Amino acid sequence: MISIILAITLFIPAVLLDRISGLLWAYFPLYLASYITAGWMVVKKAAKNIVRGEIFDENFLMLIASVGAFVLNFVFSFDGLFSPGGGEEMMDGVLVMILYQVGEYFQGRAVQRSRKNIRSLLSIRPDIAYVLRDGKTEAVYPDEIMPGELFVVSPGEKVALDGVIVSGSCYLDTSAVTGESEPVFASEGASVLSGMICFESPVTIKALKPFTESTASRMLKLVEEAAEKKARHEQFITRFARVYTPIVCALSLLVMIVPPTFLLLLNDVNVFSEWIYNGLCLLVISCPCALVISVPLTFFGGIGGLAKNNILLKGADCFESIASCDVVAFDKTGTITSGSFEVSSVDGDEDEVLSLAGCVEKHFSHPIAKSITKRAGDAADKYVASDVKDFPGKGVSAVINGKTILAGNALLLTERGIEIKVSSSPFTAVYVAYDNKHIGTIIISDRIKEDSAKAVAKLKEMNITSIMLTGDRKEVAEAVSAECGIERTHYSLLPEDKTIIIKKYQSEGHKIIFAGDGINDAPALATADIGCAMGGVGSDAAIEAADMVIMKDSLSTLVTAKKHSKKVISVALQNIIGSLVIKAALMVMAIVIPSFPLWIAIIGDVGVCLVAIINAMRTLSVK
Amino acid sequence: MTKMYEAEDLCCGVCAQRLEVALNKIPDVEAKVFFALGKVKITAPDEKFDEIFKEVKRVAKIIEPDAKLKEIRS
Repeated sequence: MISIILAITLFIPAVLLDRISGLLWAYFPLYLASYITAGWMVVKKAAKNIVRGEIFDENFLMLIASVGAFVLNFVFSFDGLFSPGGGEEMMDGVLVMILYQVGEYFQGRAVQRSRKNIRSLLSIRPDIAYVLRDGKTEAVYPDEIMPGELFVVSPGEKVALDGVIVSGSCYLDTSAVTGESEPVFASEGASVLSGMICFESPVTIKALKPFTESTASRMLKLVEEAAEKKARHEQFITRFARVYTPIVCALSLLVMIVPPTFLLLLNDVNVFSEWIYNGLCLLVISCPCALVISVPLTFFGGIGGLAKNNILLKGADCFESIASCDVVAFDKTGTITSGSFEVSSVDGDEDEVLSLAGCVEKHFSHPIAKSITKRAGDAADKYVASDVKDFPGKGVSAVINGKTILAGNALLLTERGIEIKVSSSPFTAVYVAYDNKHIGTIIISDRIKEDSAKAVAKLKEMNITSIMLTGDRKEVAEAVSAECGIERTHYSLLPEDKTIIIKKYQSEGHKIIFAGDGINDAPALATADIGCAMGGVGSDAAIEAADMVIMKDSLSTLVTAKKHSKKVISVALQNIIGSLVIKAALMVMAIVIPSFPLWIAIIGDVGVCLVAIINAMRTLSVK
Repeated sequence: MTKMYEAEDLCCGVCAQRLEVALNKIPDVEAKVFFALGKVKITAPDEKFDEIFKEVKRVAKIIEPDAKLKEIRS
């Protein structure tokens, strides 16, 4: 920065002396001094790279363009050197270096700013943790805490390691890890994940995992490694940059030689210098900065933006697949539904049926029994049940107030000669009989997540077909599909059947996302174009097989991922196409317009780069 | 042993790639350069790490004089 200011302070008097007095011995040293202050780093780098055989780098281009301008001035306008304004090309040469350095400075700032933004999105780990050793708290780096050690988290601080609370209680902001915006109350015995923020009162946590294997570190690792898998666009850019610069250099050489040779036949020596000057403009334009800086930032900004929204992408190459997919296949249990049984409706006198059934079911731990007990609440203590019996696969029985109560499937009741009204619901029905009479039916189902239907509807708006792949029965699968608006339902599937169906869709030309909880769906996750593991970085198998990990327990995140991927791809294309079009336009102008000013070429070049970086940063915000 | 370094002034994707290729040419070194993060990851055998890192620094200085390596914790 200082060298730029110094160069400009030298540059201004040089121009004045040049324009007003035309004294070569006065303005030339000033130009030269200004040039050297602005450009000595460029010269040094270019020299180093040439020694290493890396000729076509931007430093070299700038060096040639500016030195070329000086040479041009001495060779072709020598006669005019002593008249006012005689150092015009020299001035251009210095200006190239100054503007290039100004541009580099702003580019550097822009890149650093975007890095800072990306990092702040990923700042889910604390830098320091307070470990309890020999009864004293000690501030240490989190990676020095071993599993089994205790550490204290004060209100407002992030939890560093996964563990379990051993004393105290607090509210936890789990949004960074689970996407849940509502704070969760946690007390002794509750497990805590790193990345959660503690509120209200301090807690002491026993570390269960080392820092590097804790949730926050694993999330970060995924995101950082995502940068390694480059998107196709990015690979194209790197390859393109390798050939682009030499080609433009060759082109500029042609411009310098071919037209003047023809014109020389017309005996017009002056045009020679004009064409060389135009060739120098081309050299300046041939710098691929705008592309090689902005495109990687676009993709990484996109990865960072999604990470902030609890969506972890395993590679920048995923954006393209997500953006172009047209089918989303959902697993049912744990993905569309919450995976926990709940009483969804009760036929008959609801209070009476629930309290009678609850008093019996509370003695059992089967998921169905638990769901009834939970729904009954306090009513489950209304009666005292004796002689409680379990009929595995059928239901339970007990005696209340001297009369028999039965709760179970149809068989349990009909075996005992009780007439029942058969339920028409596709879900699990628990028939309740009291005193040999069927008094009501409790319908139990796996609760559908609140936003499942909304997410499916939104996907449909985007012309994406939603299908369901489930191992469950036809009736249940179809009922859940109908409620969520899912278009096609494949039921009674084994895990390998899911893979076969995904392959079938792919062979029909569809691009397919598979979203599953990842526990037994690893083959399907790996087969789909994009495998999306729902529900956190817990299982290694799921992360291994998936391309995308969603920390939040909601299907709407898929809609977010889809929308954002489209945005990232379009920003990348804008940057690629925009930069190329502007560069092409500049090139045409530099060739066609006689004495096209060098400094416009460089401002155009640097300007495109800055605009592209700013555009790239749009991918940080997710809507 | 794997260590992460900050290379704040890494100017562009092409420079990053050039640096990565050059660092990987050093024997026993596995290097990854993350342009968007401005970070360099070096994996090398524990016993030779300090020695190797000197070489890494030297190579990095030749390739990208601006990109000074600064160690960051895990």
